[in-house]
Amino acid sequence: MSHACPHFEPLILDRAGGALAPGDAARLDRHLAGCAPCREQAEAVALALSLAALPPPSDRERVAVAEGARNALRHDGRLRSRRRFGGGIAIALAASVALFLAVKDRGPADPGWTPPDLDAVWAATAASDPDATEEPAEVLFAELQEVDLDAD
Amino acid sequence: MAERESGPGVSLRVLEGGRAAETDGALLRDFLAGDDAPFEELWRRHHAAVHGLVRRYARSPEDAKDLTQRAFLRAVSAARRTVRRAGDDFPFRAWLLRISANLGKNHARDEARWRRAPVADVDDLADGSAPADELLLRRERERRVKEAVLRLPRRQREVLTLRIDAGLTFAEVARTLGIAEGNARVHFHHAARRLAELVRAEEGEP
Ligand SMILES: [Zn+2]
Repeated sequence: MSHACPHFEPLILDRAGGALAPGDAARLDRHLAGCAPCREQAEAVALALSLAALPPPSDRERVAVAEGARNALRHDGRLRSRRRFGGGIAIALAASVALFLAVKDRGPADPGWTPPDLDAVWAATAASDPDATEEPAEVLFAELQEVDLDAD
Repeated sequence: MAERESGPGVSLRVLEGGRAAETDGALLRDFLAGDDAPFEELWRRHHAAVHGLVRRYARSPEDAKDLTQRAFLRAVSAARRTVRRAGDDFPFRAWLLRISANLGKNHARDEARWRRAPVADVDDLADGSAPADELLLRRERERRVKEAVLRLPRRQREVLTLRIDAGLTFAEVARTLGIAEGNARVHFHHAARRLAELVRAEEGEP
């Protein structure tokens, strides 16, 4: 456990996130100079985030991804046909979202189905237990994944 | 001049018909109406952030490229109905990045690929010398911390990865997730503190 001072730990974490207000920087530095537990926590946080960070993509990787739009479109025959003619998959996706909302609200599924409001979808998600590891959003995305866009 | 750089990772390209000035929602609408060019503009605007997010869950660069494409296609497909209602104001970037952050997580969970993340390059250097041992130790710690990132509660993981993988500011993270900026920072604090505790616990090991 960290024994950093409760008043200064948020500043330590803000600095680690690159969001320390300029006015707080000098205050934090003065404190760190005289407080070993806070210095230790600042070092541990910085080390942890450096270990968590990904190495930057190589130039080659960056270029390959940047050029991926046409490739994505090529693999998108089904999406293309649905774009022009509408179709069942979009409705299936929509239905899974509607089901998700219905479960969240514990209300009856709307047979006519209303297009989902983005914020409603995510507000419902955020309202659930923030510490749960399996969130309703994961269920939503799992359902989206069942429609394999790369099939064919 | 057809293109100019306006900052790191941001390039403003003046396309035919002035696409660069259009909102994401308008581009998405035109793409869904059958025109491919708007998709390329959406890709140009957002592919780097998506790629940054999905790389954490990918086994290889090829895998990350594939996931980037899947995230885009899934976001477009899933947005189809909503964009008709929301029109040009449809927040496509937020939608796309939320899907990207969780598509990658599902990918990792389904494939358990991250478990196999190789401890690369160490064998080449491991001749028993101290630097190689230190490198090995560092790699092992990296692996554990990266695993811990994937085990974070969903909101903490989303905030942390949007910040450090996609490079968003906390204001952008907050907009993307539809939460307050202060809330985003608190989630980041929890995540960073948890990872720091892991590092400190390991330092305390015999
Ligand atoms: Zn202190």
